Amino acid sequence: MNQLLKVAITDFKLVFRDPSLRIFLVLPALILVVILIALPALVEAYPVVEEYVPIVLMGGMTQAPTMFGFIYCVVFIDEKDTQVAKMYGVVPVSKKGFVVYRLLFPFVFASLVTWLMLVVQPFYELPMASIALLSFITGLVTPIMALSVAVFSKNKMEGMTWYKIINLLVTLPLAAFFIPKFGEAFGIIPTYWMFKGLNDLIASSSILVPALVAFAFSIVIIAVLVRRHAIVHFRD
Amino acid sequence: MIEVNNLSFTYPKAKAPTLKGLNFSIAKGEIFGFLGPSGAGKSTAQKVLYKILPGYSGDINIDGKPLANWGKEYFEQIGVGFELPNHYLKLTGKENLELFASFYPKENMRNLPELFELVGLEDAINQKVSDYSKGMKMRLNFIRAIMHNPSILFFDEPTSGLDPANAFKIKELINELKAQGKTIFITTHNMDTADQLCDRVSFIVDGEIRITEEPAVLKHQHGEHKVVAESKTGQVKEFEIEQLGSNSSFLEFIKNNELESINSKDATLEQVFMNVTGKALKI
Repeated sequence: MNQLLKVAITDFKLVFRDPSLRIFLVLPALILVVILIALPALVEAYPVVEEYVPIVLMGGMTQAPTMFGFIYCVVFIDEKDTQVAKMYGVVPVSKKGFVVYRLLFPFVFASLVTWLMLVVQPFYELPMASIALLSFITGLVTPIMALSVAVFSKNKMEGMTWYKIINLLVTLPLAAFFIPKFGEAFGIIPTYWMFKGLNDLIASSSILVPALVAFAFSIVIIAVLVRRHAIVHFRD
Repeated sequence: MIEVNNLSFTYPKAKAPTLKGLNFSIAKGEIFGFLGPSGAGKSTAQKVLYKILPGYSGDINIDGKPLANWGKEYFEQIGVGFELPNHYLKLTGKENLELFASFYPKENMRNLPELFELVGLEDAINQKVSDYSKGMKMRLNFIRAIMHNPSILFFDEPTSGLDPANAFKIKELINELKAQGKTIFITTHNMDTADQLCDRVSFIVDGEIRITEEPAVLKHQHGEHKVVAESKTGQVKEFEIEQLGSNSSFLEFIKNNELESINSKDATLEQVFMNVTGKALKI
């Protein structure tokens, strides 16, 4: 636990001391401002927007996880650039375990911000237990984002390209709610099931199936990425 | 104690093996060196030994136990000084070391401020590593490798990037570690480092060990068996070492001249390397 805390504090220092990353830490507050102030104002001014509020909330739901994912993928790529990653290869710690518990804090933060956003949004009364479950599952986008970008990129330039690609993939299933006829075709992307979970929740339906599919799907992807990351990150 | 038999390794996607059947052993309290040009396989051999490269063939035993059977406790026993500085630049020197210290049992840890003092970094302990020079970062590499008091040490080009005074200090510290009974494996292309530090060296070229011997023996074997005497007046003469005590011209020379120096005409380690491998020690 002590070690976990030490690594988490170090990661926070690395992020906080990097001006280009520090700015991202205010993004959760920005999401809340949009959901609490800007969106209600927009709905009031243009009632037609109300129809799209669930989609805006779906988009907002993945913002914190992708943001924390981005921050951590930059930290990982920086470790590769400076070769610090090699040092983790020769310390007495399980490599896979280390990768998992290193991503625990950003996952928890991302889940909390998502939870807070769904709790404070002024549009729907949603059951707390379902919000918690959905936030927990959506938080899994953080490790997926961080690890996939880090695994596929050799440097920061490649990292930025991969981040854009993965971010597009994460957001793409929102299209399913504009073209419901082909909606389930987006089911090959885990975030589709997260979005569907929120959509079902707003419609007062059970979220059990989408939540389970999203969870299982995300865990399989994370397991594959952790395995790959543990192989490539700690070597040259 | 490290024992390596018939070690071969091929990088994934490479056509030819990087290491071709290496055999060597390193005793407790010994400094052993791999001397060879860049790309010879020196660092690869170390990486296999510190378990960062799996998929090798051959037998490696560490303290009598196969390397593959060692779990993560192996990393408590070893310290690695990488060839290039690798630290978090936005953290201070102390923060860097404290982070990695958190992975080791507390009872093994050496006092961090004392370690900084040991390599002359005491004034930079709370300075961000981005403000360190390359030499300072290399010294930080060195103390990070030894901070948990490991019994086996791997140093890849330990004096690279250091000025002569700091290189001397690091060599002194490595000798102190040897005196404490540590097993030390060094790779270098720097013949002076190998000559001054190593009890035995292996010349490695194209993934093969060409010879393993004590540097002094190699220099003697490949040198001319002569002494060179120089007088204060600048007169230089060579004499065969054999029967030197009864060599009348030598005795006459030292009787009639005030001597500046007498040296045996040993080869340098670089000359031996070229004789044995047919290659120069290029970086």
